[in-house]
Amino acid sequence: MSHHKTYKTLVIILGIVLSLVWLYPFVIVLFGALKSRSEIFTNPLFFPQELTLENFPEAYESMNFTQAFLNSVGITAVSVLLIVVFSSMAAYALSRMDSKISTIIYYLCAVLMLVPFQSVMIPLVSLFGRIHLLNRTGLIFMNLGFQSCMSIFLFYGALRTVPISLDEAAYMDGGNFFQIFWKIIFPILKPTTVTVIILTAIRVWNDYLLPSLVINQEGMYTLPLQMYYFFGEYTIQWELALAGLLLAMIPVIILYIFLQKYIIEGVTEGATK
Amino acid sequence: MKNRHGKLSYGLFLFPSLLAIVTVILIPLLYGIYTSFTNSDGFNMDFIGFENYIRLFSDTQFMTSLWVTIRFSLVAVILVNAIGLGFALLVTQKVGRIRNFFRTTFFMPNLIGGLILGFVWQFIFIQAFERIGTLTGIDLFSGWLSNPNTAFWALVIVFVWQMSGYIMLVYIAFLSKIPQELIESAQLDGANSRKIFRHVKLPLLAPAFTISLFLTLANAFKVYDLNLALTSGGPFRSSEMVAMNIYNTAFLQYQQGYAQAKGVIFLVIVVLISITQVYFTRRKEVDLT
Amino acid sequence: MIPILFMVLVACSNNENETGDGEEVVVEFFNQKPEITRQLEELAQTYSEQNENVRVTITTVGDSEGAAGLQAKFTSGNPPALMMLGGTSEIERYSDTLENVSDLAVTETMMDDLLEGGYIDEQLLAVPLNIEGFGWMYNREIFEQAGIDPEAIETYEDFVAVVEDLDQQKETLGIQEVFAFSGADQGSVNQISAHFTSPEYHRSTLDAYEAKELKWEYGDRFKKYTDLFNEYNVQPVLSVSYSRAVEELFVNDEVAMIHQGNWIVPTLNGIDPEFVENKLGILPIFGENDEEARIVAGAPWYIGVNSDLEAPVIEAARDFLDWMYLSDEGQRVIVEEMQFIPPQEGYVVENITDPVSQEIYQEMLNENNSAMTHNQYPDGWFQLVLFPEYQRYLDGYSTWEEFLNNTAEGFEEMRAY
Repeated sequence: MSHHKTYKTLVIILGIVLSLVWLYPFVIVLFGALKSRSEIFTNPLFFPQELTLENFPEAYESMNFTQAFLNSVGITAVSVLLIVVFSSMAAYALSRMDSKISTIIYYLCAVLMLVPFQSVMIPLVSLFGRIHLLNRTGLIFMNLGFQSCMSIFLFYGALRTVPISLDEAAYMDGGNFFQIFWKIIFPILKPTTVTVIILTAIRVWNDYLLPSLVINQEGMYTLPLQMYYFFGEYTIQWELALAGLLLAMIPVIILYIFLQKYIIEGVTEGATK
Repeated sequence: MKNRHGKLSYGLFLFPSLLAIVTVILIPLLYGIYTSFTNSDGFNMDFIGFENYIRLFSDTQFMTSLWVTIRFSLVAVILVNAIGLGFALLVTQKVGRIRNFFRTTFFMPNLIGGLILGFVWQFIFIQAFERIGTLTGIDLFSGWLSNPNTAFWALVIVFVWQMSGYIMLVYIAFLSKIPQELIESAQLDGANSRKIFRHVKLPLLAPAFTISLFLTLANAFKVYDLNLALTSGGPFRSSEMVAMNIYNTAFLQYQQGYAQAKGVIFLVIVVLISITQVYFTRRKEVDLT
Repeated sequence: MIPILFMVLVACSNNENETGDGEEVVVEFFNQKPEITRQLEELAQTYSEQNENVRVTITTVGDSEGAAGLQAKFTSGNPPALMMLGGTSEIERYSDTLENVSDLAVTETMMDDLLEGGYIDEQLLAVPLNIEGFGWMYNREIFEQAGIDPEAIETYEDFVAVVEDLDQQKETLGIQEVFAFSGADQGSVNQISAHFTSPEYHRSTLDAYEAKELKWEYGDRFKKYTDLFNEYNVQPVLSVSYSRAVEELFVNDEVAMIHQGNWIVPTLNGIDPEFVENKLGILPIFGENDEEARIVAGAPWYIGVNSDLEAPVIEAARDFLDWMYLSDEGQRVIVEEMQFIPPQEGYVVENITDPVSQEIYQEMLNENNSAMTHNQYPDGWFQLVLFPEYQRYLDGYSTWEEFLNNTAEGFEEMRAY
């Protein structure tokens, strides 16, 4: 028994050490954001000798945090909403229609999911430029295009376990296709919906390259874009940069702390299905 | 009657997603294949046949990028899976609620985007490492991002730090599916924990390997944001991976036809890797069971 | 099928960027220099207030993304009326939609040397935005303490002697090294190369732009300078970034010289308001031979007028440009607030903000400068070939021979595409 106990303690110690190592980069950012200009060079690693909060307002302002944050929230929210609605609908149609066409579409999706973004970005930008869609509307539409395949797969997988008899019973009661889906089927898909929301939200929120090609106007930048310009400016001041990075990470980390159960389940689901 | 009604509804339900997928991926892909046979500079394009593809073979920088990407992916796949599996085994030990804390921590970096993580680690490699170097007097810590060798490993470190927690989740999912009775009966047979791992857990983890290798490889091969934010390809383009090479050709040199030819080759490689990888790991699964 | 899909898309897209309605004429100015956004907005506002039916708006897209941003404005069918263009190659890109500006009132006042870069097929399509100049920025105080008179440097050998002298006095002067060349910064590498490509192209930006090849006729001089600074530079040279060189080492008197231009003045002022006035000086480089030294100066940016818009918009854009450079208010903002060196003749030298800028302006007036040939290299060449190859040499990964060959080869190939 005591043998077992030592083992347990060892595992816990190992876990704690690894956790600290894994967290330390975040800690360095936190400490750095609280340091003065001179201290950041002499003491980049440890707790600040003199705490200052001055970096935050300055970083906040020079990276237009409010605006970038709201842009990110808006684009992510609308994109995710559309992805959930349209890909669940598409998956439902696929799962209930003639098997030949649905197989073709299914495999098309599977192949297109492999396409790296760099293989389509050049024509994508030039085609969407021609139809005046290099703006937020266009970005949301592109998010829909790039995220739909994966979402359709997840919904399709879930729908296969929903018996068709359920639809048929609803038909008998006089519901139409649309009503049946929204009133009866969609609610059953709730766990998958949560998964899709989490996965697509993470991707859209963190995406840098696509928005950098599509959004070319100051004031519309998302957080990663704003971060890039903030960093790209000639005068990197590390204490401000770290404060800015911390600001950009805080919303995600807070959300993670509250929703970690869902996030971890959702990501696991997305990876293993 | 019901069927016809259904067809229209199916069409309506499929339309928005399909429209988006077709216009955002399929059409640009086809148009891109055409572009790769032209000398497009973003404004004008003339058909030039296979010239771009021929030129690729003598483009030493592209070959360097390809080689760096392959090396990076191989190293990343090994490390991410080793560490991810290690974490998964650690987190599934029965040590109480603290294991949830471990899991939460290990996964955290995965939630932050590559761009932001790249900047965070730029600070660590430039300022913090330099400081560690002066404090310990070990030369190894100096100038990490300005040496081709260490810059490569810097990318690997950050990628592994970011991805391991993600892959851990895959292994956890499969480990928790292993029936407890199986392990118990093995214990009764006198197997120690190492033997149980080798002969009971490992074979049952085979599908997890397939998934994890696939996910890591796909992610490693397409790295861009992290590459841009951490090294920006430097020093002297030694850490410029394929994705960045394509971007630079298209948007710095404006040689969009040529860049698109690289994009097509990139696609072919990614598809080939995916197919062979799934093929081999599936066969391995059969061997093990 | 494909056209139909796109028609649907067009129908779905709502136009986010509304352009002028009613009587008001909207002039959009596309800015590629984020550091002057505030001042440009001030100019735009003043002008809009003075001219009832005109509204000038400023759109800014940051440094490295500026060119792509401008292209996107055009491809998205929402092109600006006035646009900042980075050198002749970008002017040529848009030459089909640029207005001939040779008859503008402001053109008369611009320096001829600078106008040269705005010509495409003998048509003047853009006017210079400002003058920038660069060379060795040095710390006058450190030179004084070391007993060195910068005026006495008349030959390359003198310069070498000064460097060696400074190096020997390192400890008493309290400096880490003589130089902090930013080996990590592609801009700095591109700039220093201009000293040695300018003579090959006869100090003409137009010649440089039209050149099919780079022979590196002055390559051995480039090597001499490179080896010299690298020997006395903060190491590892590849880890010296722009900000470290300027904001950490130079401003804190830890090095005597950095290779930079007058654009560091606002940054230095922000850190130490006394530094520029008391300590900043600029030394020319002996790029062509051992006896003649020059700083590189010229116009990195031009402003063009879009000819593809409605007549009243074009008219308003032209008027704004004249007003910006000719009115007292415009000139005040350009010189005092943007801290620009004006591209026009006729300013009193003393009215220009700081001693280094004054010197650059004077050299331009005297036509004693090297040309900004580094802005005329093929697209992407300095980022993708010159910079990495130079880094490779600096770090000992390749020989100078290899540097010359590889860069020349890349130059020819990229020019030909």
